[in-house]
Amino acid sequence: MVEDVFTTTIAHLGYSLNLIIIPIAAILVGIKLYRERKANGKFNYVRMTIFSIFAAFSVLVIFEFLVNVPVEKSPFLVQIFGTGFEGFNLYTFLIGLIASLGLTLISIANKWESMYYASLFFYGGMVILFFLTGFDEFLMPFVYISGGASIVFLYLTEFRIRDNGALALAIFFTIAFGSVAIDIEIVTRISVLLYEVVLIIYSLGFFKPFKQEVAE
Amino acid sequence: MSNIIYSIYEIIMVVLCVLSLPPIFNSWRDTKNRMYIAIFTLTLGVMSYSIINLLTYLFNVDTTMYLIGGLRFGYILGYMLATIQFEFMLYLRRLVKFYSVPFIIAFYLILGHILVINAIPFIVYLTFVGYIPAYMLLRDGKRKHNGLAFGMGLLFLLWGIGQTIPVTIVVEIFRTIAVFMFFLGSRGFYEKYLFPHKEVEEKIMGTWISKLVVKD
Repeated sequence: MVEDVFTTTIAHLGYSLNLIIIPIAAILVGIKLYRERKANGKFNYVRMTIFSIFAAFSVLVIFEFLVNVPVEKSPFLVQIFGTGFEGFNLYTFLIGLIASLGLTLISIANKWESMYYASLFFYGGMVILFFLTGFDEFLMPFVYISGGASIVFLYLTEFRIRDNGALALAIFFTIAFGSVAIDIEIVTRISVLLYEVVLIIYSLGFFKPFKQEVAE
Repeated sequence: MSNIIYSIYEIIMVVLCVLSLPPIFNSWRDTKNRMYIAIFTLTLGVMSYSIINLLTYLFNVDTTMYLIGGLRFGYILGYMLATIQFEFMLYLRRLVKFYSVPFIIAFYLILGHILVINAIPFIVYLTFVGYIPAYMLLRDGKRKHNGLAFGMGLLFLLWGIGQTIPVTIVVEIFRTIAVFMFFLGSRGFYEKYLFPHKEVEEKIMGTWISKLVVKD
């Protein structure tokens, strides 16, 4: 009973903090991106990708909050967002998009130019095929494989090019995907709080284990 | 009987491709321009396509039969060549970031054919991949007096026109003419007879006028 109350409290705390912290993190990264663009006259593609990941994640947590909040809501909203990993819905679409952007970030950070948008094109193809034929069998394997590959390559990239953004995202992805893979309620709830802490530190610019930033 | 005639056309095309390869290779050796490697690869692709077609005629393989779902053997061959063509165009335009696109499109279109029996995506894609590069190559070839580019434009154009007429003998004739046009381009025919050099043109004019003067 006490454990249930504890888990529920952490869950509510996690959802509520997600709703505030992740959009703020996205806005902070967006502001940095805009300032850099203004100062140098060109985009930092690494930061642009990180911003896209946070923006997609913000949309995800806002919808997640709206669907889970205990008030009456439109069945359309619940239907379009979905309730988990069952075929294509807004939730799985955004998870897939984040995983694809993870691979994009790796390609950009490693300067594999011909692979920059390959994962996004592949994912886009999957979405178009779903709308035309209803086929979505590749979605979950894609999410798991690209999520796993993102984590592994982000760590490798971070060690190779010593980039703060890659390291922060590597830790973020490890906690986020790790909690989904482990699937124990208490672990998931605590993980949400943990990655929020990582996001706050990174987006405020305090996460600088490496002095030099990667610029594309 | 008809298979023997088609096979002869395919053999002619293979021979023309083989004869086109040495001048392209020599141009690459002299200039070290990587574009010639791309053209060389495209020629090998066209040649491979003819060899596969030749084998299907010799062994009486029906390319219109369905392999799985709505996927025909002919579609696979078509996508193979379209991918090489599209990749070549991206290389010409130096669109490195989009190099993965032809492979991803071919993958999803093949998957789509397995799921749905419909030839329209195949026709639309081949039209797009055939006519747009043809126009660009013909325009650039004419502007820059580049016979090889002009020959390639004619190859794509005639090949594309041939494919729109669903009669095998017509397709074969158009393809053979297309490869012959490309062969002429690789041998410097267009530079010599279609786009004579300005100085040479003036020389010819000068000679003609001087002859008239001497006569008078």
